[in-house]
Amino acid sequence: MYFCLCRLPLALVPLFTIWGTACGEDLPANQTISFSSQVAPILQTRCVACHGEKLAESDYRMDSFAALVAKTSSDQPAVVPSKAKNSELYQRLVHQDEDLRMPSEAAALPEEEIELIRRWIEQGAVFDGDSRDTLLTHLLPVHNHPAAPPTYRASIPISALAVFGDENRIYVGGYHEITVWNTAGELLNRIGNQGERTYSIEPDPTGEWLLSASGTPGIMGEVRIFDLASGKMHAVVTRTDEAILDAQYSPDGKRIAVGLPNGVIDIYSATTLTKEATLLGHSDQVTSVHWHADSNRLGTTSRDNAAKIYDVNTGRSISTFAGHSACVNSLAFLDGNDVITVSDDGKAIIWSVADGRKNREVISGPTSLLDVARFDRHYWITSTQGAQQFEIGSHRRLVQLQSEGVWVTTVAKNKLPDLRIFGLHSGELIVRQGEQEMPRILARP
Amino acid sequence: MNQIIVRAGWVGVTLLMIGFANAADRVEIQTLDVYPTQYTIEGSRERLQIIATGTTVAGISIDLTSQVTYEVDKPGFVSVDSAGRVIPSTNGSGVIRVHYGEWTREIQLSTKKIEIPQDVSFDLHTLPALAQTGCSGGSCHGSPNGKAGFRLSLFGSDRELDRISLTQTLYGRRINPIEPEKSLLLMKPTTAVAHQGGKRFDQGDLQYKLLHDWIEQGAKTDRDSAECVGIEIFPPTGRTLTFPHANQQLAVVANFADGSRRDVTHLAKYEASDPRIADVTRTGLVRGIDRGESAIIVRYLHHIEAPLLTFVRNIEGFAWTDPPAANYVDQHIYLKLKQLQYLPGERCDESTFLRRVYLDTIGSLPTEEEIDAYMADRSPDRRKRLIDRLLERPEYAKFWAQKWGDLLRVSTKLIGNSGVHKFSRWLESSVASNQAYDQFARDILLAKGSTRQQPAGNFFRSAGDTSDAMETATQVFLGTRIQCAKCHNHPFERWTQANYYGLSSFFHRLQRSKTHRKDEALLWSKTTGEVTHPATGETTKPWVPVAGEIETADPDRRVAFTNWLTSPDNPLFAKIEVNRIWAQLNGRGIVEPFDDFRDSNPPANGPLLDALAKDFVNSGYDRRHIIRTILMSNTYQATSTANDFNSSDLKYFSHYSPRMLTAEQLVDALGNVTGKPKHFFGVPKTTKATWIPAPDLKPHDRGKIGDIEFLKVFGQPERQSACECERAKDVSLGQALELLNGKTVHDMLTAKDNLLHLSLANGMEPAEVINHLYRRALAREATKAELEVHLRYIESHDDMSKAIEDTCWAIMNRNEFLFQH
Repeated sequence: MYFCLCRLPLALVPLFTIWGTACGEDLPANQTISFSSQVAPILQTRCVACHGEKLAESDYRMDSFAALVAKTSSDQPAVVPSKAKNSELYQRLVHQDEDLRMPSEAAALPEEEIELIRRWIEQGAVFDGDSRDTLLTHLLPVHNHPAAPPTYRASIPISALAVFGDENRIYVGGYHEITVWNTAGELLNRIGNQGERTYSIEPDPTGEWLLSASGTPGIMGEVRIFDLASGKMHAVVTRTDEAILDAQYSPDGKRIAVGLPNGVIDIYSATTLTKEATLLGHSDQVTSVHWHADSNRLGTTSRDNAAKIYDVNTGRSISTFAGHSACVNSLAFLDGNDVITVSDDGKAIIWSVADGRKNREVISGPTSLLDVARFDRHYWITSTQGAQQFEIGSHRRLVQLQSEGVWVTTVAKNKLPDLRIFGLHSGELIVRQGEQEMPRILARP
Repeated sequence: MNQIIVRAGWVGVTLLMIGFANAADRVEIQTLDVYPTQYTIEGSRERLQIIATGTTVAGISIDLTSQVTYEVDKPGFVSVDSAGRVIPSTNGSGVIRVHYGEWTREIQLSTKKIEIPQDVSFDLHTLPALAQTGCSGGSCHGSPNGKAGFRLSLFGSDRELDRISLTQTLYGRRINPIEPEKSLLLMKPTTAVAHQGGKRFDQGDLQYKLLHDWIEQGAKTDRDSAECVGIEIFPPTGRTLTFPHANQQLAVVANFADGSRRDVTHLAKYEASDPRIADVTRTGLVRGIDRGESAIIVRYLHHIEAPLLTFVRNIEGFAWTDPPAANYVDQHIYLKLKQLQYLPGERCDESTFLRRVYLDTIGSLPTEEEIDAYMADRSPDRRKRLIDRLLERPEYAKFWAQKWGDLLRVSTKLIGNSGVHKFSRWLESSVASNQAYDQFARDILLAKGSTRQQPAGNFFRSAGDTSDAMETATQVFLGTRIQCAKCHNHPFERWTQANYYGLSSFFHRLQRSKTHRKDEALLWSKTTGEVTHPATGETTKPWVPVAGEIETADPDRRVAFTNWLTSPDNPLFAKIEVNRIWAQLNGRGIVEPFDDFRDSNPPANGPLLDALAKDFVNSGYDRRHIIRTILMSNTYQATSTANDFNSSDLKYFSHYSPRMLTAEQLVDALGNVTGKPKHFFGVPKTTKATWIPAPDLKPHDRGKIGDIEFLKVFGQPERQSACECERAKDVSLGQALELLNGKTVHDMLTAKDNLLHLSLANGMEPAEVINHLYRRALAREATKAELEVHLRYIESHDDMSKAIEDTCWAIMNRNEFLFQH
């Protein structure tokens, strides 16, 4: 029996655009089904949201091979090799009773997907990955993301921004790409093969590599490394089932910190890309990670309303700041023991790295504060209303920019003394050279 | 053929075929009406729902919207589908002809602004679509914490919150401006990506199209200039449908401040108030399930209407027997029963009536002497004479004062021991003297000075702050559970958060000063003080339902509130109380739950409720008069045994609905049967459970299982809320265990000086002991068969006194004993 794409119902189409050619080829009956490249993508998209780490309905997880084939609450394994009919995994997909059929409260899976799973079980439910405990997201084949459209039909919010290199190139998170602009607003280059949205862009200290955190909301997240010279992808650092909001090289270039959607921070070796440490403590999505100049301490912020400082060498938390009442969006190390965090609760608070005690409130207002970055003797805070510059030490406000209700989502954290670039929800960039505001750039190909 | 004709279920079949199929199942009608008769569709996204209604020869209205054929005289300018939905295609004007057999009606229709693509309006399309699909419902993303990190306001009540959640948060992750169809906002509800909330709509649905196009057009959130001021439903409230023609398409029109009107049938959210009677589809098609009445709650934006539909069915073999009505209560009940084809039950027998009316008026079972006295009365109006006597008894005042104690939260925890005794004595004297109900409310709500001198003022001690006082007063005297509106607009009603704080302002100035004496407060009013709305920060004006904002001359604003409350023009005040009395006597309110009045919870018999309320007002708020009127009705006196034509009725009072004795009644009844009444802490030994002034007179001791625990197990409320729901009505395993082998029952049975053992000791024959037992427990003699069973059991046992205990125990575990019937 053969399957061909043209018979697939419409509902399946998004799946193929997401997972590329994972299961799109014709399948001769005798061809061996691969768990990693054919079955895992289906389970990841269709099942793991309710049978995963965050939510394990009926205490059953399906986010790794080991969990998938373990005994369920009915004391039977859900997968009986070579016996699809006796395997609950298969039975539940074809159950006559809609209340018992999976996915719950949704249409049945397309026949082709069910058939793939059935045949994989019949062929012995063989695992073809390295470790049975590996999360499915890590098993999926690395694939090429769809190409970015030549021109965008609409602007997208600026979700990532970086400025570096000899010509003050501006790197902007685009749609399935990173776009590269000069301060005059000319599009210089496009680095493709990215997840749908890019949430952080960071060069390594040598200027050779580009680190990006990206993802497709609700579906997948990735951290990738690109060769800056060629724009080609060099490696995938990690993957998960939800967009990854931040990944940063340590100032000494030796390590990479990744803030994950499940609240975990993973530390990788920048050279071997092996995982060196896992930092626990946040209970919800990590929104940002920030290395201290000493390349040892790491500040993190999260949707769990907390911010933390870790000692990366020991893997222990040094301090936790619990003084915000909403999602904490960003953090910056100031002088000495001071660190500042900004939050959706409208507050910018300076607190102590050593013990998490609050020192002072710099801003307390009705609307969200979105980003903070430190530059030499001052720092900038962006908000839903604009951006403000403060002096370090006195915390005196020096400059206030208004954005007419457009959220200033981010400010580029570059080391140049005079060039400040802000990203807006409207897709525009505000470029400030010294005290001078230059014409805005619409970062939309 | 230059006509477009579409017919339900037969699209594409030739005209000849349609005519043939049509004739076969066509209903003979004498009129055909269409709604509307003229209309202008303005904007390419606008729609129109046509309703076609026929009247049969028998005078019955039937919805023909899906049975008629629609013919457009100018092909192509609009299309009409089989369910009467008009979709515009081009600008123009013309006629839609609606055909049914030989009947034809015309609708004058014009279309405007169709050629320009109409923007999706965030306010008028996007938010209603999310409400209609359930996304912003209270159990999903509309819950106060949202779901899975995505929070919307409840049914779109806070557009700014929704704007931020939908378009801004996390770089606008939920919408994809480049490829709109890949937006999370569309992928999740269609389950293209796994969604815990399940499938909410399909790609082909209108909601999908609206949300998709909204994103495609840039997810604009500009405020729509059009302000919706209200909605109208067609057909209006009160339509009766007859099975098998029990479907009714609704049409919903929104009126705007500028005078314009738009059909919003496709955007409104529908819900049936009684899902056993009817259900309603997302497109506003109501489908009758059973005989009865159901309101259909229709919501668009923050506007709610709840038209009432009645469903009747011809029951085979049913013939109305025209039973005589004892008073207006029966007249209204019988009118409804006749319409719904339920046959009222016969009057119950004398012993059933006796037991029932004792339990309802004085809370306890009749004694053997009282049974004998009643049975000896041979006058034709002996039921009336009994009712009159009972309503004069002091136990009546004690028992009904206890019901008020539940509502007004009389407890030592809240008002102290002396507060409890003073307040409940005041309540008892109010019932005993038959104080007019409006004066009763005034005494409570306007209490001033020392609560020792004004015991009614203890109300403001148990309701110890502004919101508590307002919520309790509204719950008790207006039958409104307004608490929800403290934090957000009420989910099922038109109550808004502003209403909540408007009502609060009446109670805000009241002060409760402590004195040197325990359990005393001085009540006085400040001359200033305003309530601010927590969301807007603005001062709220004093506001009452129906009348709106009212002027308050007296700085003590309770005066204005109470004047309005007790005014005969206030439609709610009298209704709440007569309904509460009705519920006490019949086990179920005409509005049920009996303290939850709202449009979306219609009365089972509106005219009866109106008549009772009117009678109550005219009688000078005479509570005893209303109780007597209800007790005298054949409806109250009907048997609890169902007949062939009323067994399925649970709602319209065709027969008496049996209910378990309350905790207090049960304890007293057990004492009555065994002759060993229970004694309670903190009150004289002669005090019955049905008279106890508060549930917490005894200091709480969890280690001991005592008498009070028995009451708790059977649902005695702690009096922590003014909601009638606090009295637990569910049957529990704990209750079964208490009755089967609990300490209370065991002690009563085995006491050597109980009536059983004393009678045996005095040489009474077992048969006679059993008969006395029956009279005390069930207010009747034992039948011959029952007696035989019991005697056989007793004879087979050596220990006669043990066997008699067992017999008594068996009787006390019979439903006939445990229930009022």
